[in-house]
Amino acid sequence: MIKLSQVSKQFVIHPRRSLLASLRSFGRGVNNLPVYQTICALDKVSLSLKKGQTLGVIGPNGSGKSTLLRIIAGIYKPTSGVYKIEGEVASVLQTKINLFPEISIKENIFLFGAIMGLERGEIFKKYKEIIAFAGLDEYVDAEARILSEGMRERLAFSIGMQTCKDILLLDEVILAGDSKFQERCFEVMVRFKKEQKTIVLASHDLKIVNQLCDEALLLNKGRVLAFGKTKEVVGSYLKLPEK
Amino acid sequence: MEKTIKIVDRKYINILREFTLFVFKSREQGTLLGFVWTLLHPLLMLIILYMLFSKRLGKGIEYYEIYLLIGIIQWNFLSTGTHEGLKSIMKNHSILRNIYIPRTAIVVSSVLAVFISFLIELLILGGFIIFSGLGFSPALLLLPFVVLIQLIMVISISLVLSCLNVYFKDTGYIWNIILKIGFFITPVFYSIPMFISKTKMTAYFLNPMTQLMIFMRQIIIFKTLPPLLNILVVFLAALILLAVCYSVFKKLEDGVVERL
Repeated sequence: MIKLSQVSKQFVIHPRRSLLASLRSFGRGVNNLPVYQTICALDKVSLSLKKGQTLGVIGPNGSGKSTLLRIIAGIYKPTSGVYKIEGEVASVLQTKINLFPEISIKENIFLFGAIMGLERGEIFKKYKEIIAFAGLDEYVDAEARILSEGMRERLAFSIGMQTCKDILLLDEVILAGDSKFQERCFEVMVRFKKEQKTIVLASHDLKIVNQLCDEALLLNKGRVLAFGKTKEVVGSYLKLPEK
Repeated sequence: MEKTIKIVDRKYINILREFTLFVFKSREQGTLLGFVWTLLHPLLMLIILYMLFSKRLGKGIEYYEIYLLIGIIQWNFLSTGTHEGLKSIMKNHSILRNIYIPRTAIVVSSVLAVFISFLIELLILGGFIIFSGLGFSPALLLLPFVVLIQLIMVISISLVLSCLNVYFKDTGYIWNIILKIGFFITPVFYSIPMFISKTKMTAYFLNPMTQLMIFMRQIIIFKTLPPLLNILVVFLAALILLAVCYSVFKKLEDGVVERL
């Protein structure tokens, strides 16, 4: 279960200035105080998601989709508001950098399995499935760095899927891999829904959101513009003057 | 969402184990000699310092080569451990930004990876002890406790340094200078009474590294137990340091992730 009430997130942009530069401007009599800029990434977002529901988060770039997912994942703490998450969260955000390139694929699976909350024995059981799902049977002992971008995305997605216990957060990763892989992803997502797992999917692909999600949330500049039935929310998104 | 991490949490321990193995393996990744480098460094230091100081500063110190090796190994753990800890958050910024991992686990496992090397160095020290004919005594049973105190200290310092390094990029440079000064004001290659008066000695003994080196040397070379009160005081100081550093880390950690 995911419940957010009036959740806001502000980021302070810290000007990076060296001590030497500060001293120099001080010597010249220039105002030495650094200027801090505040950006509101999320503004009083409220939503409620029951167990087994799939939510699509849509909106233009910079609307706050990734920030929302990071708050649900526990990576960021909101500046204000209340939130409650029940269940283990598995997140697959930005797959390109979600692997350690210097260790083997096998070691990556064990490391990420532990991060996602699995015991060694559980990872052993799921190991073959993860490799098979990602289609990387021939590369298990190879370092992750040799994998192509698509292969890395497939592996990261596969780890996320196989290690998900209750809640799965996906940020644009459904597009990973070729059409065959996408088909398999769809099948797993449908299975997840049957297994009462909660999915939050942030995507620009409205077709995928329409096909998979029970509900959708439209964000723009950190604010909720619409929240409800997917078709209606997608319709509102399409009416936005600038996407 | 409340993500309180208990030290006995099973998930936390699993992450710690896997991440420690990862850091340990990746430290030597791509090098020809691999793990041997970790051992070569203290041995090389031993040869250099022994050649330089055995005739002067080492004069009158029993088993000076063992005395020196203990100092080098302990100092090496402090220096490398805090350096790895300091870099740990920055090094893993992309993972920290995209997956929730208890941040303390990243820092602690970076230190633990160095701790494994430290333990192996201690085994080599054991070889030196046998080779030199010094032999072992029952006092050695207290050694794990001294090692534990140092581990607590290194983890505590690393927790604060790892956060500061995100806020101020100069932290690494400043810590390097502090370590360089520390190397000379800690009796790594000399014994304290040779240099200072008794009143100044108090200041020296406030340095916990001095105390830890004295404990270890007393156990290994002099085969006697250090005064238990002294050990308890240092242990208590290490626990207080850990409590302070942990609370500082907890205060800073959310801001740290946002700055990555």
